Amino acid sequence: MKLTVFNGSPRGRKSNTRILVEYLVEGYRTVAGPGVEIDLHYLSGRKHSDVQLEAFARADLVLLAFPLYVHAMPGLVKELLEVLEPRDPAAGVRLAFLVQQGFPETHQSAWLTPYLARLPARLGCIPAGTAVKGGVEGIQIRPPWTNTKLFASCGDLGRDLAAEGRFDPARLKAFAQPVRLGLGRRLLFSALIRTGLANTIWDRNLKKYGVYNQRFARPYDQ
Amino acid sequence: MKITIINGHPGPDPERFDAALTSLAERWLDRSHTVTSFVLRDLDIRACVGCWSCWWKTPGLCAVADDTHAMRSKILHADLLLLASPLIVGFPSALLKTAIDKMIPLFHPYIQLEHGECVHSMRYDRYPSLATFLEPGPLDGPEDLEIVHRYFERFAVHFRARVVGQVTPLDSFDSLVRDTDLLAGEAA
Repeated sequence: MKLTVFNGSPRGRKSNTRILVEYLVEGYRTVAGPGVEIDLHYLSGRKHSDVQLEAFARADLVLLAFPLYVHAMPGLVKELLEVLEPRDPAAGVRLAFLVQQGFPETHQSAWLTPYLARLPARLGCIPAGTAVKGGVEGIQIRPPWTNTKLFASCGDLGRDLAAEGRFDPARLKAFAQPVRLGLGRRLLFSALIRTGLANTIWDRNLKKYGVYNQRFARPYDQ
Repeated sequence: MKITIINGHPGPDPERFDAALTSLAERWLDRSHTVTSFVLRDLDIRACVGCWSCWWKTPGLCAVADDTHAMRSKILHADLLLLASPLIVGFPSALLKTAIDKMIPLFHPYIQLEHGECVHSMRYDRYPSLATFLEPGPLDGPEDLEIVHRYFERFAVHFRARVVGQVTPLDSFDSLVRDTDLLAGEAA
């Protein structure tokens, strides 16, 4: 079955969302066959909105993937949702979501997932599950081996989607771990904050751009 | 007390919504509060592109010079922030969400644990309390409105803010106006 993907990252082709989607699609292909049609659309840039509407109108199985922005979908994803023409429920179109976030604990997405659970029905679609993954920011700069498990589990999600037309609920549960930070992670994280290691990425870049000593700037205080 | 209203009705036909919002604003003005309004559909609001300039190139400032610059300043200096929008497809407008996404420069990239959860550290000493003005659409039931209300409660956690009230255009604004006065009393 053709898979229609909307990548809702404002960073488009440079996004972490793209990387997760690629591994998911790879898994999808291993089950659906190498020749299966993957209709991929990037929402950033806004040049192809008619094309996107048409893609949704012709889709059988849709994956909407995006980063969590302030506990919900980025503005440009909401823009798409506002213009999509709902499908005829008789068509049995399936709609799945992939939400990736920077914070490690997926509980941070818990204020969006109830909305996403009800969204497919509004769009005349069958819910195919919501995959949520935390700790994704930084996957492009950390050692590749640290991503091995993440990428493999994205592939598993893709295989499930191809085989069952939806994400496997048990797999989603495992994928979303940790939902909350357990004591061990909290202690580890507190130590990382105290030693400054948790902020390495930020500090390194603040230094790179020569503004480290302005890092606590409050431009709106003036 | 200073109140900043962000009106995220994208149009068309915002008249009834705007009129209800104005009537709430007038109640506040009558009680000597200062009200500043941003009507997003009339402004230049460019979406966050996730470039992180505000976090590591120009700390605290968005790289894109649009009208959210003035908006952020007025939000920060307000005692109460009212976010207003119709629900479209069951969620606040893309216009309002785009403006919300642009509030990131008000926070640090740094993460800390509060109540066992990750939050971004505060760049400023204080942020405004929060209220919402949400108009459910014809297909929205109580559960849909509740989902959005809970979303804004979570939003307020990051703002280290209290939710003073969440109203719809059809509600009496009495309790929100009263609670605003209570907040002003605390602030004084």
